Amino acid sequence: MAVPALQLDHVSKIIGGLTILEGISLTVQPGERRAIIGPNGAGKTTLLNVIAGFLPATRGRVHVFGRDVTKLPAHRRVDVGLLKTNQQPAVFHELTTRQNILIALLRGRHSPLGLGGLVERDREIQRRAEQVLEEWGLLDVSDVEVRHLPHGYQRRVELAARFALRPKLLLLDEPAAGLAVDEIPAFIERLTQLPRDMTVVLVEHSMRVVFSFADRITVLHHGAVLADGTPEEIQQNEDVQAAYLAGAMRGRDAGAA
Amino acid sequence: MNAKSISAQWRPAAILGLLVLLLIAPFVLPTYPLSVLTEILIFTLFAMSLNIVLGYAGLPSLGHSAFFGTGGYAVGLLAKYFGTPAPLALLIAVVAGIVLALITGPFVLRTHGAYFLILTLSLTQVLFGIVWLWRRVTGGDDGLPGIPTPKLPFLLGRVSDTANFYYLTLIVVGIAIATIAWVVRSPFGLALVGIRENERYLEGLGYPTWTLKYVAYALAGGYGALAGGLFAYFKGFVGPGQISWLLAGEGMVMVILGGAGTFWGPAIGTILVLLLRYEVSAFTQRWVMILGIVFILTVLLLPQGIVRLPNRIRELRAQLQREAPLPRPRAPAHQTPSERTVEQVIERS
Repeated sequence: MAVPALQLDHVSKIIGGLTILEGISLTVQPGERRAIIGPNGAGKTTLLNVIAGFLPATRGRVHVFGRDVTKLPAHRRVDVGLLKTNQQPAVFHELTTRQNILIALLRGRHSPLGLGGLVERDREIQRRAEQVLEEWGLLDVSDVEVRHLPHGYQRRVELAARFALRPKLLLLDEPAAGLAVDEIPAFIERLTQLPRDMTVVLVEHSMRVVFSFADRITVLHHGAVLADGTPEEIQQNEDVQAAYLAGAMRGRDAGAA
Repeated sequence: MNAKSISAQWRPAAILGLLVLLLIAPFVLPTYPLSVLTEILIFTLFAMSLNIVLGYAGLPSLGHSAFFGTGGYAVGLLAKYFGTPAPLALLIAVVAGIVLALITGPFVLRTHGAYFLILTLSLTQVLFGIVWLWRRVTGGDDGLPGIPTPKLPFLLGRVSDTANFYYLTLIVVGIAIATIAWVVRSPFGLALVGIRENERYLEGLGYPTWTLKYVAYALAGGYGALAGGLFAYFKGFVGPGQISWLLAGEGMVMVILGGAGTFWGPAIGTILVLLLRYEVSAFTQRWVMILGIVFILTVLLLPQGIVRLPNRIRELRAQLQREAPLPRPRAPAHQTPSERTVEQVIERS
């Protein structure tokens, strides 16, 4: 079997004596779409932050494409192709849409210090930024400061910036949160069109998004893996039903639809 | 957008015009205003160097005078004890500023916000203490007087001494400012703004944010020391006052008043502060009070600094024109931001 895109071995995270994650082990294969679900406070976001390197794991190891990244800081994990989106879109509010894209594109160019050359004179980078803006339907708002944009657009800027860096493993933290109801189908469409060689780990509350997207689902409960399986298996799993899913299916989707 | 591109179009012409004015200033201005202008140039460099950390990277340093003073003492000691020629002494001053930043950076850059402010302030006070007490070398509170003013050899005898040093300052500050412009418009400069906006997000895009801040801090230290070295030559004297946190605070006022994170803001702030000090103080001892009022009004009315005044006026005028004849329908209050159309958003920005 191929080297897994993501492998967690007994990862624990303890913050101030409180165990947030306990002995999480999971394996995500290359190209897989994995959803992580669980009730509020289950540790989903913490788990993504441990994988991305924003929080160090208290115990356990994190491997990305066979490389042990447990001790690497977040910015070094980008080198192995790992990128993450945020619950609140991780965009620079005082910068324009174009600058947000440029800052991502220029990331590979700051060696050793990124001095050298003026940004506005760098034709190649400007041309690529123009391409990204067009691809993501952001040309209209390219010179608008991102803080003026509606939430859905900010999300798009965030994703466009990350895709400009060609991630191999993409972590999405509740990307559908805050989207208007009528934006969700288009968003699911966009997710399903992601290139198949990209591995995606998705944390999401909207079951509509999760079940139309995921190959496999991991259910977290009180910081531990409660179940792991295909969407059908998860739907039929009684523990999951009891802990979370029934309520979530009834409450959230009925509410959202 | 339109206005912006027009101003970008005129920028080279404006800079050229400014340069011509600065070049002919010694032929127009009497000695005293010319020395004020020299001081403005030196402090513009000081404010711009502080702006790299305070304005671009968003690190509120209240200890930038440490670098100014280090540059000053480097020049003072070299000139007094070794008779080092000015170009070499200024170069050593810059290196001293960078080295000080590289040594202190790992300590102060562990912190953010108010903690960064307090740490940089304390560090400066430690240096102040050393300078004050190490009398044998630094002259203590007497400082080091009698630093000879360097002169440009090719202008000797053609212009007055004041004008000669003014031209020297203009050349050094001009080159320094040009390199700062290049730094802040490079990918590195854009990354610094990313740090100010959200350091974590920038790290998530793969930028080594700590290293970037460290480099910015060192650069600011180098430029700050250069300004300090020039000032020591200008005054012919270096003393503990040039390292005091009061000076760091004044630098902060210059940057914020003019516009932190903008290129020309610090220059405008410097001009305003120094003109207030030298012109208004002729009429009243309370010029600091007037500076305080100006500062408060600026922060309240033009939080992005005086450099934004034209934009602000344009905005207000556009708003008036739009609202006076026929109030346009606004998005109903119950609409969430994501329900607003993009057209509405573009229009509002």
